[in-house]
Amino acid sequence: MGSGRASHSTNKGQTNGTTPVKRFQGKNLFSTPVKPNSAGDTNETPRLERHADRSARRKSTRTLIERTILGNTSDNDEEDEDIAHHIYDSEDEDEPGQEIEMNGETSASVPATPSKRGRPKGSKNRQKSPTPTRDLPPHEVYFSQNRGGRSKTSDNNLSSLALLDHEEYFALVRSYENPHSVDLDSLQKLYATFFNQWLFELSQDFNICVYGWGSKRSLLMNFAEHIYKAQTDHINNKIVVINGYVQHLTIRDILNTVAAAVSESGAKLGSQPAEMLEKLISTLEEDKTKNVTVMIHSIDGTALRRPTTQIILSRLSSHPQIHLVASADHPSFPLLWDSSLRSTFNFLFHDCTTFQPYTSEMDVVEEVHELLGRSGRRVGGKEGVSFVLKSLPENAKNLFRVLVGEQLAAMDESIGTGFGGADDDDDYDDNDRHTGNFGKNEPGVEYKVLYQKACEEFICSSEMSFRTLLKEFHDHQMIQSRKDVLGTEILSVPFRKEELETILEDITS
Amino acid sequence: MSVNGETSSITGFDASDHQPAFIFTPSAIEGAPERPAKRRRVGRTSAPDPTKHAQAFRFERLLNGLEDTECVGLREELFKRHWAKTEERIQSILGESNEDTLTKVTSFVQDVAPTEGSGIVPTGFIVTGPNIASQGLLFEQLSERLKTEVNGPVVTLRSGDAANLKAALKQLIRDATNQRAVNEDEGEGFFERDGRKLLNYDLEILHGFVKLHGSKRAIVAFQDSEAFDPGLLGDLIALFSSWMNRIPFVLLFGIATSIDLFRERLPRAATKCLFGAQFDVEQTSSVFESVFLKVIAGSEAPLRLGPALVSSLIERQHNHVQSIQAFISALKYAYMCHFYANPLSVLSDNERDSKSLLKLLQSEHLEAIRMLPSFIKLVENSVEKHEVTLARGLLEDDKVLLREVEKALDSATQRVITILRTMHVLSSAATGPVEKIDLYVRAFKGSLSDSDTVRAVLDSIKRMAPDALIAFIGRITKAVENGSPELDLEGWLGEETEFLKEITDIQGEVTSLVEEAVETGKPVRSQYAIHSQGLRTTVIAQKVQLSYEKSTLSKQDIKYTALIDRMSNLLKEYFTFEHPQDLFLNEVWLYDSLSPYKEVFTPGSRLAIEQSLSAPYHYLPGCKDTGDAFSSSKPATAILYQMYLESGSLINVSDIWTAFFSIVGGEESEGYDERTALMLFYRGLADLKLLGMVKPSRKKVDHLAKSVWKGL
Repeated sequence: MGSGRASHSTNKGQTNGTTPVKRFQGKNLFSTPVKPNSAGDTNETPRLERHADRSARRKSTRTLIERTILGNTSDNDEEDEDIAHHIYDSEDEDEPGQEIEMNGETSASVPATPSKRGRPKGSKNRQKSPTPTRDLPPHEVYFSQNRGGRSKTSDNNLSSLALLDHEEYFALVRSYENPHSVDLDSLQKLYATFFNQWLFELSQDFNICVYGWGSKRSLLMNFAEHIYKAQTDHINNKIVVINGYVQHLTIRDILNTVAAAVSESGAKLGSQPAEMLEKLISTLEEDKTKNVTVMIHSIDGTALRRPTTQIILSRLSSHPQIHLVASADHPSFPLLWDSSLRSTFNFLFHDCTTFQPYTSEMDVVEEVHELLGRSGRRVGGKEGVSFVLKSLPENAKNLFRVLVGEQLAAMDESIGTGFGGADDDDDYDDNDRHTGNFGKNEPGVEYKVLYQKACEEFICSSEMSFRTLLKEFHDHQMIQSRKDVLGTEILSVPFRKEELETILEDITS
Repeated sequence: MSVNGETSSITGFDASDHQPAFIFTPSAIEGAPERPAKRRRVGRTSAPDPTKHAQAFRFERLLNGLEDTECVGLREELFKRHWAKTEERIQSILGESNEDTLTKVTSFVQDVAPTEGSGIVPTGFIVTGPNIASQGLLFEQLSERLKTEVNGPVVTLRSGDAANLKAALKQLIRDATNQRAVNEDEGEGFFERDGRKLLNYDLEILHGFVKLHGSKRAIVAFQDSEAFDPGLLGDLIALFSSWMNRIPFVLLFGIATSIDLFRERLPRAATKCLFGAQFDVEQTSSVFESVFLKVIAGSEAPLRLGPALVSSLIERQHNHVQSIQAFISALKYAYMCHFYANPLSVLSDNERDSKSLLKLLQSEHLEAIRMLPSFIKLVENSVEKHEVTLARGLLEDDKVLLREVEKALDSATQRVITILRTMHVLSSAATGPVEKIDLYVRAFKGSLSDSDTVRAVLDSIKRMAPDALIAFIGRITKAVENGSPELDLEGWLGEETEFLKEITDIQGEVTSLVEEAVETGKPVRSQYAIHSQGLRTTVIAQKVQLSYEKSTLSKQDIKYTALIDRMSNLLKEYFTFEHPQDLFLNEVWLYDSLSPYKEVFTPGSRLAIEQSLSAPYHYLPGCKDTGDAFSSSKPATAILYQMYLESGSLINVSDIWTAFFSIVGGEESEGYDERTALMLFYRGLADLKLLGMVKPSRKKVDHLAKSVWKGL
């Protein structure tokens, strides 16, 4: 607990410097309530903070002076400068009876700030508001967390932490014992009591959609078992299970499997989903005794999110001989369907919060590494890359060197321009959570450019041989290729800058 | 299979977990999955039983599992019978509502004469209104009808089928040619011409088909016209127009907005090629009202919905779904809930008399009856009326209770019908249009007598001239005489004695007054009418004026005023009746439970997830609500979620990991070591990503961007 708080209060500590702006009114810094539940130990910490402030203030004065003398106001440093100003200002406000307007003037009248005149001083300071207390209404929380200015997070990073790989992760998972397993089981049992009701609902031409936190896979599989036991005739009643979370699932797979369940002879459905659906439905109608229960895990999975897929699914599910049981994981899954789709689906929704871990639904390690921008770890990190490179011919090594070099150059460029405002379009596009938005502003090298470079350096003579070399990298997942907005193919190496640098060193040495 | 829960699915990596789709075969029942090929042979021998699936499950035994199987069966049977009847009624109303449009459109398609060589395509614009969900039904009915009555292919295109011109044409040709090819084997003939095969989106195929069958019309219906790409529609129309000399196209557009808006979206060249007629579909609201009156309010409705449920249904209907199908689903679900979960629903069997129903009741049923709010009300009432023995008997003696139950069952229908009749009289008495659904809600809330409609009626009487009053009474008698077909009420002239006698009495007296007045030449007015006239004409000193007017009331006027007062009191009394939800055993025929409906049709998915993550102790009794948001007994994701909530829009992964580890690991002996904690951290982070709450940020190294705020 202790160090957890500590890291929180380091965050707070920074903002604390700014707190007095709003609550100066003759009060001193010590009365600032930080957080209700850490009130117990506030008696001591503020004094420490104050000492810290003192030395920090001295330092910041120096920075300010230095800054103005050197005239160095690069964007990168602005943040520190800001902090410096704050720490400096907080001194003034400590003195009782001082007006807030005075505050702006005092700092402006400090002799060594001539270059600052262009910008009104107060504006920047006013934006910072005190750390929010608990129990704010949701919208207040939103605004307090999104207020202007740069957000204050520490510069710590994970470089010191050895990240998990798949092997270690699964070993840990296996040895881990969930302290809540009893409760989880009883939750499952609780939901199992609804199975009969669900059967009734299915038999009345409703479809079922379960939602809520936790993997509902095992619950639905239990339900499938329950359905199977309840059915006496297993020839005409089939259950089809579809794993919507599987990345390469297509609507054709679904329709083909359902068709296989219906006719078994493997009737040819065609290639267009709409056409397949019609053939499937006509086969179903030939034999009214056939019933297929379709069980879709994660109907909101990435593979099934396209509207056309959902239309086909809804039309499939609306057939009286098809019974659909689906699970949905995303909090805003109902947005997948408009009113027309919703009414064709004819869903009954049930809240099934299971708290079960999503074990088969997602590749935890992969997902986290993608979040952290370390998807290159799938080859086994940079060590893996150099290992692969060792076994490749000289040409391939050279090509990779060129690629990495180009990418590094591109990265430098993008950092130069990227920090201003371009990055703020971190779009709120939940839908392509996959690789899409991550790749969007990731620097890379254009396919053509790379080919040209490779030719110039006599790495390859024809596009054919160039492709062969690239394929080797693709196979080892050492490079990624994507299309940008204009449709040009961009190649990139999925590593972070520092790692790329070491790789480059490795190759060239 | 990973059915045994978490542990097995982790340790035993199962191939089926990552297979996109497969046919389920339970591992526990049969050792190895059977070969499908073998089953097929078996399948042919055993006679398929169509009812089997329906019988696959039974209703659960209620009353702690003590319910008699006969009762269980009866509930199931009752549900099926009642719902089938209700559904039939709904379908007939829906069919009728579209009937008019169908006939018009069919005759249009048959009669319209394409002008030779002009390339102008005859078109029907069907304005369906904003309810896109019911378009499907309409177009299905339409294509059924057209197929039988018009010689020629009928194709319905949906925007989803037609992404581009090629796909649309393919779909069109396939649908058109499939319709006949089933029973005639020359189907292949029109795919080829002059020995070469035609592409499957060549309208030449359709031309061949039309020629072969001598079709008079080729009907293409666009179900959701607005959803089509206007450019695509323009191309299609241009294409159809150029083929008009060979293929007799007729187009039908389903339009949700208005024709003007639709035309604006189309290219000018395309609009020039169209000519035709507009057809209006009966609006959902009016269909909705007639369905409502028939199946919920109607006298033959086996189950009535209570006011709370109805108001919530109506609200959703108006504000959100606007679809009659959704309403029907909700209604069906109410029926399902009632018969599935209420053991007393057996009493609503209208085919048996109450005596034989009572025989079914077990002692548990009686216990259940004693728990009903309406029973409590009954006992309270009898105590208030100082019938202590009755109250005691109800509580203690099953025989007394049974007698009371029988009485309640016998009178139930009659009481409901009385309410409906009152509603009908009120709506025919009212001068303006009446919101009948609202009236129903008020009647079943027991607040009809305070409603605006009643007040308006009573006020209007006071100001009525004698002639108007006579007409008014005539309207009421007529309503009583004719009943209401939309509520399935027959006339009840014979039964209604008191009230009717009184009002005809009043009518007679008023008539004689009028006759007198005609003789004397002095009009008869009531005190109230004069009063209001007096008020209107006076500019100063109202009081003086009033007393003056009063004193000049003629004898007839006084008499008439008395009559009006009598009428007013009579109606007031007539519109006041017992609160239906106070009637003993109303739970048997009145379903008013809101929560199943809300939960099942309007999922609060985000709320559920936020709730479960921020307060996991509601689900897991093992982690206690310590009031500490960062209790280490919470599941990892919940702890991480809490931190997520408190952080700003940018999250430093390193810091959040340190914080997380300090809670999960830490000095306590039960804490996890760093690697296990890291595993949990990974899991939590991946979970947050799955929920769409975090995404990578490129602003800083090892930072995440926050994308969801709780409660917003």
